[in-house]
Amino acid sequence: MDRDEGEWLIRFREGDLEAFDRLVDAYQRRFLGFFRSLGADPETAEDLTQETFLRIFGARETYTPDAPFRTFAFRIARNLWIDRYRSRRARPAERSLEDEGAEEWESEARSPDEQVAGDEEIELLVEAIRRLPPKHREVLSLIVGQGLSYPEVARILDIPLGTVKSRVHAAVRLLRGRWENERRRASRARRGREGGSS
Amino acid sequence: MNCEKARDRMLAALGTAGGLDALEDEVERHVESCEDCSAERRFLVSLCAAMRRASAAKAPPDLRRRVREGASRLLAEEEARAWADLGRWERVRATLAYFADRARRSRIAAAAAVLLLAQAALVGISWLQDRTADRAPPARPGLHARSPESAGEPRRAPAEPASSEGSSGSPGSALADGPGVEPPDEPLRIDGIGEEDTLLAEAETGPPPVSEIRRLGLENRRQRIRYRMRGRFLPPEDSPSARAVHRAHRFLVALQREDGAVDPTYAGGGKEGTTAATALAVLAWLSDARSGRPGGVHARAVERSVRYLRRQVRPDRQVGWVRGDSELELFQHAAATAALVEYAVLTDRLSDPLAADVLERLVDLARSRQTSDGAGPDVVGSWVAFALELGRSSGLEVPFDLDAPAAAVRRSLLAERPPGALGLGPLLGRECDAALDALGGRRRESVRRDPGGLLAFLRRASLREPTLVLFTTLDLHARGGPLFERWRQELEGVLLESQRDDGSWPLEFVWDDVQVALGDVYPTAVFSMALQVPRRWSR
Repeated sequence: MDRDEGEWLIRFREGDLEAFDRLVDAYQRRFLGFFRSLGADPETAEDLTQETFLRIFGARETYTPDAPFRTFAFRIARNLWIDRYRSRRARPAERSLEDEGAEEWESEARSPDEQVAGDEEIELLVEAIRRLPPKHREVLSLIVGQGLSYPEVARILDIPLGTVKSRVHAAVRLLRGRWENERRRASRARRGREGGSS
Repeated sequence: MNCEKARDRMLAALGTAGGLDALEDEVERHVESCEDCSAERRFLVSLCAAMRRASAAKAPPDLRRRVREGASRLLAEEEARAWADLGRWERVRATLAYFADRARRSRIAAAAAVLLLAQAALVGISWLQDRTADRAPPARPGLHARSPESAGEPRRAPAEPASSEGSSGSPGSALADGPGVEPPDEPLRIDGIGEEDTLLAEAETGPPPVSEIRRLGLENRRQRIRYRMRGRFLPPEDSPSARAVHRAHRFLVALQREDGAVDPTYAGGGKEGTTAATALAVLAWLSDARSGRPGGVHARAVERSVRYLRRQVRPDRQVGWVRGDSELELFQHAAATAALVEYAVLTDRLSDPLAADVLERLVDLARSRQTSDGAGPDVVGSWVAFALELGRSSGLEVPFDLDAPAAAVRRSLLAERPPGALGLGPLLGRECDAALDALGGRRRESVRRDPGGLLAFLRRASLREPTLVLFTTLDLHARGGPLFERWRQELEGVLLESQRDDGSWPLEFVWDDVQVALGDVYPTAVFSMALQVPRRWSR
C-alpha cells in the first residue's frame, strides 16, 4: 500500500471514511496478530483491534503524514494494550530474565513423544514467547512478528534504540537457552527409548 | 568476521525488510562455514516461524463494518461539537456557505433560501434565550454535560475504612482523616511560626511593597523568600474544587506504606515508580494549605514521606534507583528535588544541605540532557525545569540557564507574551507547536493570533497529559486576566466531573515509562496540584 498510502492518509486525516476503510483492511490482521502475540485471547484481540481503529480515527488530526503511519498506529495499539493490562489492576509480577531459570522450564513435564522436533519445537517456542516478560515480548512481537524496524520500535515504545537492541538480544538469548534445554531433553528421551527397546 | 559479529548482524537483520534471507555476503559465508552460527540461524528461523504462529489471526468478516459504524459515530459527534463551538455569526456564515454550495451544485436556490430563513429564525430564538439566560445566575462553563456533583452538590463519600492516619502504614488501608476530613473552619496556624508568619501566610501575593516589608518586618532575605514562596495559601475554602483536592489527597494518603513510601502498585503503577510517586504525593499535599503544611491534616503523612525520600538519596546525591538511561530515573530525581525543596521552604529549613545537594545533582543531570540548541524539553524535562526554578525561587543557587529554551518558545509562539513567572514556557511552547502543527494551515495562524484557539486545543488534550495541564495552568495563571479565568473554570469543570469516588483520577493515556510506573498516582497528584494553582502560587 506504500504507493497510495500518502494519499489515503491525507484523506483519512480529513475524516474520509472510505480512506479509513482501506486502512482498516490493511491493518486489521496486523493488529489482531500483535495483540494475540502479546497474549490476548481471540475475542480480546478482536475488541482491542476495533478499539485501536477507533482511537486512531479519533486521533487522526494529530497524525502528520510525513511520519510513518504504522509507527503512529502501533503506538496507539500498544498504549491501548497497556491500558487494558493496567485495568486488570492486579498486575502480574514481571519476571526478570534471571528469574526465568531453566529449572522452571524443566519442571513442566512433557511426555517424550511430544518432544521430537519440527512442529513441536515451534510450539514450544510459541509457548516460550508467551512466557517472556512483557517488555521483551512486545519488542520481539513488533520486530519479528510485525516486521518493524528497530528505530520504529524505539519510537513506538519511546525508548532508546540501544534499549530495543538489548531487549531483543536478551529475549533471543533466553528463548535460545530454553530451546536448547528442550532439544537436549528430547534427545535423552529418544536415547532412553532406543536403549529400552533393544 | 567472527561469530559475535555474525550473530549481531543476524539479530539486526530481524528488523529489516529482507530478514534472515537478506544477510550480507560476508555474514552468509561465515554462517555457512561455522556450525554454531549455522545453528543460531536455524534457531532464529524457527523463532520467526514461532512468532508468525503466535501472531496468527483471522480477521472476522464484520470487523470492518463495526469499525466503520464506530468511526461514523465519532465523526458525527465531532461535527456536533464543532457546530456547538461556533459563534452565532459563524453559524450563520457556515450555513450560508453550505447552502450557497448546495445551490450552486443542485440549483435549488429557493429551497436553500427557505432553509436559510429557518436557520436565521433559530439563531434569533437562540439569541433571545441567551439574553434570558444572562439574567439568571451564571452557570459555570464546562466541556461536558455537568453532573449534579460538579455543579456544587456533594459527591457520594468514598468508602474508606475508619482508621486514623497514623494507625496503619499498610498500603491500601485507606488512611482516613476521621473527623478532620472536612475542611477546618479556622484559618490555618503554622507550627513554629509566630504572629508575623501567620500574617505572612494570609498575605496576598506579589512582591511585598516597601511599606508592607516594614510593617511585617520582612527585613531579611529569608523572610522575603518565605513570603514569596508561600504564595497565597489562602485560608481554607469550602468549594467543590477544594473538596476534590482533599479527596485526591486522601487517596494518596491511603497508598502510603509504613515506611512513608507512596506505593503506586495499588494504583495501577509499578514498584519502580515508588520514589517518584512519593515525591509527587508530597508535592500534592504541600500544595494545599490545609493538607500538607505543618499543622495540616496530612502533616504526618508528609513527614513520613519526606523522611522516606531523604533515605533514598544515594551517596552520589541522586534520589532513588539509577539505571542510566531512563526517563523515569530523571523524573523521580526532579520530582524528589522539587518535593524536598518545597518542604525545606515551607518548614523554614532552607539551610538544609540535602536539598541543596539534590538540587546540585539535578543541575548536572539537566546539563547532560540539554540539547545543543538549548531547547526541546519533553514532559520530564519540564519537571526538571520546574524543580530548578523552584530551587532558584527559594534562594538556592542554581547555575543553570533556563532562558535558552524559554527564548525559543518566545520566538516560536508567544513573541509578544513573555513566558510565565516560573519559566515553564518550554513545555507549553513545545506542546503548542505540536498543537499548531496538528491544526495546520490557516488555523495555525489564527491560533497564533487568538490564544482562545489554544485553549480549545488544550481542553481536548487536558486529561491525556496531566503535566501539560499543570504547567499550562501555572503559565496562564502567571499571565492572569480573563484568559486564565476561562481556563480555570473549564479545568475545574472537566476535573471535577472525571474524578472517581475514591478521589483519584484515571490515567487516560500512556506516553512513556513514567506513566506506566506511576499509574493513577500521576494524574491524581498532578491534577490536584493544578486545581490548587490559584491558591498556591503568586503571580
